[in-house]
Amino acid sequence: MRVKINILILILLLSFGFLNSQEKVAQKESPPTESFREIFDAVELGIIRSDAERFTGFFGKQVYINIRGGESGYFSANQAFYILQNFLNINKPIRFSFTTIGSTDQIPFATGSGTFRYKGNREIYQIYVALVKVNGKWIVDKINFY
Amino acid sequence: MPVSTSRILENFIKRRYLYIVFFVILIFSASYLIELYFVRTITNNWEEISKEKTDELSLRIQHEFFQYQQDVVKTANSITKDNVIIDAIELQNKKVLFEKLKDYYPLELSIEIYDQQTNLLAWSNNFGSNISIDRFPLFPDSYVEQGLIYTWYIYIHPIYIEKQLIGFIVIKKLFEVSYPLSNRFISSELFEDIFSKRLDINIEFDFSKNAVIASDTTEISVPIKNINDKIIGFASYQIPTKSASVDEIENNFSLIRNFLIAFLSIVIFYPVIIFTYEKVKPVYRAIIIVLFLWIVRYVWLWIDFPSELIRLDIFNPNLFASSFGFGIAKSIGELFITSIFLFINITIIFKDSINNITPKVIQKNISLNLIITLICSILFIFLLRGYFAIIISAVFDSVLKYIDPSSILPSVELFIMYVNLLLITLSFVFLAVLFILVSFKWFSFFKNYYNNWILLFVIYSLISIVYGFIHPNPLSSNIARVLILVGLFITGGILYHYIFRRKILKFNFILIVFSIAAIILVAFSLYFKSQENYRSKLQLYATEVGRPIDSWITFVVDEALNQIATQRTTEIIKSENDVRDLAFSEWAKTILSREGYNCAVTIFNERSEIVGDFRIGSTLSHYPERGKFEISTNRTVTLREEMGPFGTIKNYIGYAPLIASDSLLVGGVRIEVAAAKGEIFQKEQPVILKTYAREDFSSYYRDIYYSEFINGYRVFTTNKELSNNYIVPDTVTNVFENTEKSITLLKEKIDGNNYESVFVKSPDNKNNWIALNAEMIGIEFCAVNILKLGLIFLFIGAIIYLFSIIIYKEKIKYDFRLKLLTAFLLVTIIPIALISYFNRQYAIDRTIELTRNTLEEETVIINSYLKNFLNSNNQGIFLINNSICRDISMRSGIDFSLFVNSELTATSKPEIYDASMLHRRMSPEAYFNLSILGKQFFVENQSIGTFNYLVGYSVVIDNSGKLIGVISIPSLYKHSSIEEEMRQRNAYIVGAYSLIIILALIIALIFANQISKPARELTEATRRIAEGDLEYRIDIKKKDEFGQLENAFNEMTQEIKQKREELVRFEKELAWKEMAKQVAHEIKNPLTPIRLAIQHIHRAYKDGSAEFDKILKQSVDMISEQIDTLNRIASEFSSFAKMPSRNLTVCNVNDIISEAVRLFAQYQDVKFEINFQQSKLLVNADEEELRRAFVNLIRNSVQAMNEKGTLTITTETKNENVEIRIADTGYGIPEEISHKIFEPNFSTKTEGMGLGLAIVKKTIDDLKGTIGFISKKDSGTVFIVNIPLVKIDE
Repeated sequence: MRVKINILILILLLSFGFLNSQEKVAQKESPPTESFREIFDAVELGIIRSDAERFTGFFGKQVYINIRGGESGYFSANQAFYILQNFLNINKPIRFSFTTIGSTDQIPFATGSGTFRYKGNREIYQIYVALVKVNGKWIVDKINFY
Repeated sequence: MPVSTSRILENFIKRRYLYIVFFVILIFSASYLIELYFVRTITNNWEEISKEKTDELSLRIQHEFFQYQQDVVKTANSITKDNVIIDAIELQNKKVLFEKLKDYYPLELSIEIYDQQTNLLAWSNNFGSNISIDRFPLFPDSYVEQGLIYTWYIYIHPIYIEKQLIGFIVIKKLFEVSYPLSNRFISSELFEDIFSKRLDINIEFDFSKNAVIASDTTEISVPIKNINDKIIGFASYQIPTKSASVDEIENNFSLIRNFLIAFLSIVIFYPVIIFTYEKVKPVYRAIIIVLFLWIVRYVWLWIDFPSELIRLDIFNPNLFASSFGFGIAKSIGELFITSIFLFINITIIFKDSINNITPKVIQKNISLNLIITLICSILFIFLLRGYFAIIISAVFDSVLKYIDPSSILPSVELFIMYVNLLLITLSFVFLAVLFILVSFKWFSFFKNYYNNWILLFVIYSLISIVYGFIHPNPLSSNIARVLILVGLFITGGILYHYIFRRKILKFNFILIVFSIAAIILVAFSLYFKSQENYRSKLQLYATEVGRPIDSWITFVVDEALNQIATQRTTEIIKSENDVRDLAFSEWAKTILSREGYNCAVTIFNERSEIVGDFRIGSTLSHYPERGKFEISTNRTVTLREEMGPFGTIKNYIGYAPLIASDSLLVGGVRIEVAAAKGEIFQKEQPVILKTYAREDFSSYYRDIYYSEFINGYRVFTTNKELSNNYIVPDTVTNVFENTEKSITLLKEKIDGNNYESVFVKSPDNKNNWIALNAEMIGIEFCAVNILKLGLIFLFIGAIIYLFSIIIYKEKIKYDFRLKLLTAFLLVTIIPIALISYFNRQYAIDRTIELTRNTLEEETVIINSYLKNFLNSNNQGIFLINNSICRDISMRSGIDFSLFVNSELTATSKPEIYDASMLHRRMSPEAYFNLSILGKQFFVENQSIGTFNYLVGYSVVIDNSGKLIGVISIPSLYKHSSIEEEMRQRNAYIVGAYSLIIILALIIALIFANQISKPARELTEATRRIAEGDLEYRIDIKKKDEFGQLENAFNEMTQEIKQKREELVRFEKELAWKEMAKQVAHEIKNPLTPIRLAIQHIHRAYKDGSAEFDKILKQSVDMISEQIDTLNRIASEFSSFAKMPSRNLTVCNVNDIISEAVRLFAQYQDVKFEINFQQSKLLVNADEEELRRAFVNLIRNSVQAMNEKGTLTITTETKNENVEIRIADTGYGIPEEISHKIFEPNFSTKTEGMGLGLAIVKKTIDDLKGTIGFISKKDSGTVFIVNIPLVKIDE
């Protein structure tokens, strides 16, 4: 009997791996409710601290990413997180802030200039972030490191 | 310490694992010290090190440039030594020169031959700009020509005959490309690549006339010298900083340490597995191995192994990245490693658990049975949900195209992803069947197995349907779940039937059954989820197209102006040099090129004249005409909206002045972006100018049509085949007018065709809608793609199967059936593969032929337009310009270029030449065929890097029949239609042949099974008869040769049975006689002394002997002794004869031997040496009986040594047996009696019956083992016992 219980426990443990994945998928289905300024603050802080996780929670199912000399196109939120995290790991932020936060055509956007350290050299990127409202909630639609 | 544990350690040490581990730890620790040493050295001696580094780099750059030049010089020298070429130059024989230059066709070089007047005679490639006359030297010379887009290395070699200059050889080689487009069209290795790859530094070259040594202290300039040792420019690079060098050292050492950790985890893997298999019970073993595997996996993830070491595309998250398992699936490569770990993990659990879940009625406790079934089924539902979450993630978190009708073979990345998905699906099938079998074990509502099985399926199905209604996002449909359950219950049923009922417990058989189930499951799941993804992408595109983009485009225009209107541009404009390429080179650097917008970049000088312009796209309507635009000092961005040929067009026009440092206005930059929503689905841009963003839309596997609606009426559509009487479906109107929803997806039938349509309501005007329609795919397309996926997975499944049986040391039984199957498959698949290959080649040839014909027809059309123009205007061909070409192109729908005297004079697509994608000089082959050989039409396959296309050339002839020009029509613009054609042909070919191969496989399986069935039946019957089952008969159903053979076999078996019965009867009689004789003989021996003793007593009594008492005592003792002997004889016979029922269990031979040895502890002079190879050697035997056998053998050996000497006992595995060797140091067995020692009643000893070894042999024989011995006189005897080991499967 003991042996069989152990088998059952083992199978339960293994199931956890599968369950974990579905929870991650489920999380993406509920976008945040914060106002768009808070989202831009999170993006700004995430970039400064090289921590994409601070703002990838605000991503929709698909995000348009355009990185100078790198990836460009629509990516899922999961892909977007790893792409941006890789970018921020390789390009260490020295300084960054949004200089313009505005809204035209009901599309809030923010632009700013960031200085990053890449292999001992300084690189300057213009950053453009645009949001979009989906089901009454703001989500990040476009991130551009140009 | 137990014997087995010490053995493990012994092995561990013997196998040098410990040394390796120790060595790795040593290096690991030492790396910190060495790193510290390097960092300190760099910190303390930075100036010296920095100088050394920069000196070395500078020398390296000069050396590399020297080598670069030498390659070109060698080619030139070999040409100058070619007498045929020299003669042809002298005679100006162009035909010979063109033909000879074909021998010197390195793709990366352009070889040109000029006469002494610097007139071009022949050329081998048509790239690079023309050489100005003042550049032709009297002696070999070289220089670098730095353009705004391309930089060329040019070598000029004058040719003399008897000191008389006859001509020049010019060789051009691409040195550098200065725009950052992702350029897969440039295949040759550029000079700068050499440094970026080999030295990991960025070098900037300056070959301008004003080039100077960098004055910046952070940079170093290295003079670059030509073949005459003359400085022709400078290479500059940033001096490495101390912090960057320290970072580099730290990173390198971190990499080494990570590698050591990974290596260590691999090294200790084997001992851990061995240890757990020898020492730990199966369940705990599974837990330990699972924990160990996943600890290793996460350690690898933590140290970024192997992605940090092997920087391959498969580790890049832009292809695929999932958040599954905290990062173990963050790329295709990581998921590949995880899938392997998962598969090993699940199969280990399965192998260990399968014996514990043998279905049998445990107890009739309905409530308990129900509870366990419910738990298992709920867990199963969660497992299924998890599986679908993985498939969804694989599809939606990826840019891979799992269903790509245009490709036949998947890319490497896609192939690895397919492997991942099959491994995961296989693991899922293993685990899911395990769940079902666990619940089935406790499931006993009916006596009949099938009824229980069906009831269990019904319960599982009901729970899965209930779950579908309860869960808000079940990730799969009820039908899908029930179908999967049907598949899994069939798989489980096969497993149960073959394994538990027919006792065929072979892992490779399980793997085959599960693989087939997994292939079907993954092919269907992937196909349907990919379809969902395509639908979701259609919605994404619709949302994207319908979304206002003013802020974004304004940002893009503003940023582009910032990048182009710089001080550098101002200086270039002021210099008044040739700035023809400036607009393109600047455009290519901006975000405009990356986003692929229709745009125009125009650069003006101080007189408002256009000095550089580049435009791309066909929707620009406000392109500034010459003299109509006045530059100003005001920077502006304006927006204009209008209806154009592609629906609503928004024009964003930005202007920035170019102001010199002295505040003078020297020019201006104007950028116009035309955002036409419908244009992006036109697919009319040549692929070479497409950028990532565009490719995303155009890579959709179906044509997408764009439509615009105002107040519910269609005002524009890109689908030219649609009629005007279209009415928007009511569902759309209802959704947009009565709800807040701004997007809706529906299926609709338009003009008899089925479409998937997405409607989007404009956020700024509720009455404006847009729609994207994609034609729905037919059932045949669906079948073709599922078959294609199935075939790919079948191939991968075969690879996984082979790897698995290697890992688990399974043996493939290459039996008659497998041989037949292989033969069938070979004779069917090889011809099919060959036919499909030739069929595809034929399809490609047909497509090329069609393109050739089209090109020929088009050249005829253009020729007639040109002739009309020339005749009606009475103009010379030189007056045909780009504007006229564009006009002809608009009317004919054909894009073309016009060459006069081999040089481009006009084109309808100047942007392609502006982008230097096509060259302004005719290709040598075209010139040779048309101008020299006099052909009227010529088609050539050309390439831009790796991109191949066809170009049709045709001569333009004036009224007098004189060749006045050549028109060229590249198939670049037809690429979409050619791809579409190929896609359809591929879909047909792949689908048809996939179906044939799968059918061939199924038929081959059935035939192989049927043909080999009699052979297998005979084999089985022979085995059963060999085991003694003479009642076994083959069920004969056929009347063919095999049926006759089976009948003969049955008759033979019947005969054997009769003969054996007679033999047994005879043997029994014989045995009884022998036994009676033996018993009589043995009993007689003690009876004689008894009779003598009795007679002695009787005589003493009769004689009245004085010693009667003494005689009586002696005689009684004697009689008692002889009675004991009689008793012993009776016991021994009884022991030999009796056949007690054996209690067979799985027992450890080593434990039994150890216990037997303990019984001989009183023999102080005998030294026992025990040597067990591994702690556990399991056999199926009666433990008590086996122990008696070993006691007998050991006793014999001890007695053979006269109870003095060394007795060595070893056990080891040999060919699925355990081999036990018992070696003594006794007197040995004489050769003359060696054949008798296992016979009953044979003994060399004075006591005993000589039955000991006979009993041992009988015991071992009954275990299907063998016993033998090796003996040497006065050296000793070794008894060798072999007993079959219990298989793990069993």
